[in-house]
Amino acid sequence: MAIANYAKTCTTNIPGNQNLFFLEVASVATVTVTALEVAAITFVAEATFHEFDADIDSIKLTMEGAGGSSFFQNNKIESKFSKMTKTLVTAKQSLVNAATCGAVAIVLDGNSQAWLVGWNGTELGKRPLNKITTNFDSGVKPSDEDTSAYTITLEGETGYDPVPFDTTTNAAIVAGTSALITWNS
Amino acid sequence: MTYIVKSGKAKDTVVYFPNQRKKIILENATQQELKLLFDMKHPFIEEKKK
Repeated sequence: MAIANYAKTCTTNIPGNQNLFFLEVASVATVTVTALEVAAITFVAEATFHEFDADIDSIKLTMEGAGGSSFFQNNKIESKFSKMTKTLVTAKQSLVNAATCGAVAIVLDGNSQAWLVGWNGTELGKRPLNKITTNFDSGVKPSDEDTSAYTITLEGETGYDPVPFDTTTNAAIVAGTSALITWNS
Repeated sequence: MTYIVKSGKAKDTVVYFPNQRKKIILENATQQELKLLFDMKHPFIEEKKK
């Protein structure tokens, strides 16, 4: 790939992320790509992505790459979930199970652009998010801010960036109406 | 029954099968491939009665 022009777009950049959704990679039947953007996804056996309500301003997507004659990149999603409950333990365990064979995620960023993480048009579903780290800290007193929360990190080593969703599909994710996702009511 | 790509959707559109290392370019898809995608409830494919 030859170097081409890159022109800056002069619009506001809003860091952070708004929403997070996970699915086992084996449940993805097809990914349809038009002009390097995800235009549709079909699923195995009526599966969909699942919404994970993380704490506000706790979802972080990082891509750390390094290379020379070769290149690798670690795509990582970290998120925090307050208050230990039976439901949270079940949700966390489902991610632990999914990491065994790999998961894919949709991250809706602060600029209202959704990204498919753990899948790309070259490696396809062969390098999903397959490593999980979990951490819980109870805190010691009620005023211990940011404790009594599970921090869950899913990551995967790849050679490529997450893939953005196209305008139509992205709009449905932003609106909370996308059929790709089972939404929390 | 024939299967067609909905208007405005075919150009440059590639359907990837992540676990089968297979891809279908919609512009060049055969009827068999379009039926496969229709059966998978792909939103870009529709059935047309002959």
